[in-house]
Amino acid sequence: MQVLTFFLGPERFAIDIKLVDTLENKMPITPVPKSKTYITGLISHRGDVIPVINTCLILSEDSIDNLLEKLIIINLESGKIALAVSGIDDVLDIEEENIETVNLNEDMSVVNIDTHIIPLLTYKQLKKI
Amino acid sequence: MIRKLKNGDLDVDALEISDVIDINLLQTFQDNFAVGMNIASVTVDKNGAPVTNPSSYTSFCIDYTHSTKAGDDRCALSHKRGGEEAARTGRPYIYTCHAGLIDFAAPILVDGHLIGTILGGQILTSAPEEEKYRKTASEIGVDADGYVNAVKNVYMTKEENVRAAAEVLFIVANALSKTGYEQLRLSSMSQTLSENFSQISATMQELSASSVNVTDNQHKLSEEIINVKKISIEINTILDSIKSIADETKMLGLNAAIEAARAGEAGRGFGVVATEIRTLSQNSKETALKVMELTSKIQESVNKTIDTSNATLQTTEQQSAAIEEVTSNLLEVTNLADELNNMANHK
Repeated sequence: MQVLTFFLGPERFAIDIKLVDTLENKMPITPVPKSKTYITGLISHRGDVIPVINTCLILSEDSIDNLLEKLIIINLESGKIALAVSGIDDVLDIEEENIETVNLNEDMSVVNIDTHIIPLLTYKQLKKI
Repeated sequence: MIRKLKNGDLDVDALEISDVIDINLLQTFQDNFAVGMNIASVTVDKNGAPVTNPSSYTSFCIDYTHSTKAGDDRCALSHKRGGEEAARTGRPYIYTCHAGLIDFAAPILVDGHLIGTILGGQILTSAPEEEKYRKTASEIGVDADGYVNAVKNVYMTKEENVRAAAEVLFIVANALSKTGYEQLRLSSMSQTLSENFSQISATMQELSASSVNVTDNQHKLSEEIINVKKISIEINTILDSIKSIADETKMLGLNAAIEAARAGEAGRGFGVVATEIRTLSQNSKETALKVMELTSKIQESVNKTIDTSNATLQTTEQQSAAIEEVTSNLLEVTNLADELNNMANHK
């Protein structure tokens, strides 16, 4: 299967490419007052209004500065969301056997790419948003 | 003749007595001295040819001894010998001429070179022996009685008077010639000086012109360098465009990969194309970065060049100022040299 790897600051993450709708460059974001902290604002994308998510916060990491460089538009059952990331790396082919599930938290997965372990964002994690 | 040697000095060998002594002045002096001392005299050049008129020649000499060719030749020979001896010693020479009178030859020397001789005398220091004169008269073919009478009219004086007279003429003539010679040398040197300064002036003007040229070229160079800098900055702007195009291409490639994955099996070929596009964008970016490295080096080099150029400009401007100063000093000195030349050439 194929994964898309992206950066949050210096950290690299991966996501199943089937979950991804498109990739976009940074664009104007309309802030929404009194919304959840991890929602940065709203964008207009191909006629749809999509919430922009601060990806760092949903992964329980500290927020970084240049988060809104690129947007990964994700397809969820409930609608589309945009994950704000600092940079997009590449699309890679990986073997299923390289994916491991972290025991303590079933929702988290990691994938082994070139001896590096990279957190893999799962559908379950995204559903929580 | 006044002639200069190759090294600029006066050619002493070519000098004539008329070059260093005013002949009119000499004639006046000679005449008055001859009358005052009762001693005949004449001045000849280095070849023995007279340059003044004879002063107070005795009748004995003019009317008798010189009247025949034989006598005249003997006189010439006698004078020549006297002059040669005087020239050899460099001192007045007193001798008895072929006809028995006391003569002297006073050499006129300039820097050790003979330029003329004052010949004179025609006096007796003791009573003449009549027989001797009769004999001479017959030898040269003149009337013996007349000759003897004439010799009795020749002025008689002591030898020390003759010596003193010769000494005076020697001193005065040589003093005059020395002064004249020094003046000639001065004149010649100030001429050379004047010429040299003219040359220096000309060279300084050339230098000044060429230094203005250099300064002009420096300014042009500075402008060109700034031009190069502008162009390299423009190149960097274009490179920025290229980099953003490369980024866009990458995004395009990634989106294409996503679509390909979505299409499943049918999208596999397209997925390959998407990968190629991403490789292309990566290469573009890397190339753009390399070019940016080079333009950065160019800018560094250009900055160094600007610094050097400015330093050179400063130096040439300093040079120009220095040349101007020298030129104005030179003008002053040249004027002095000209004045000196004018003074030296007033005889």
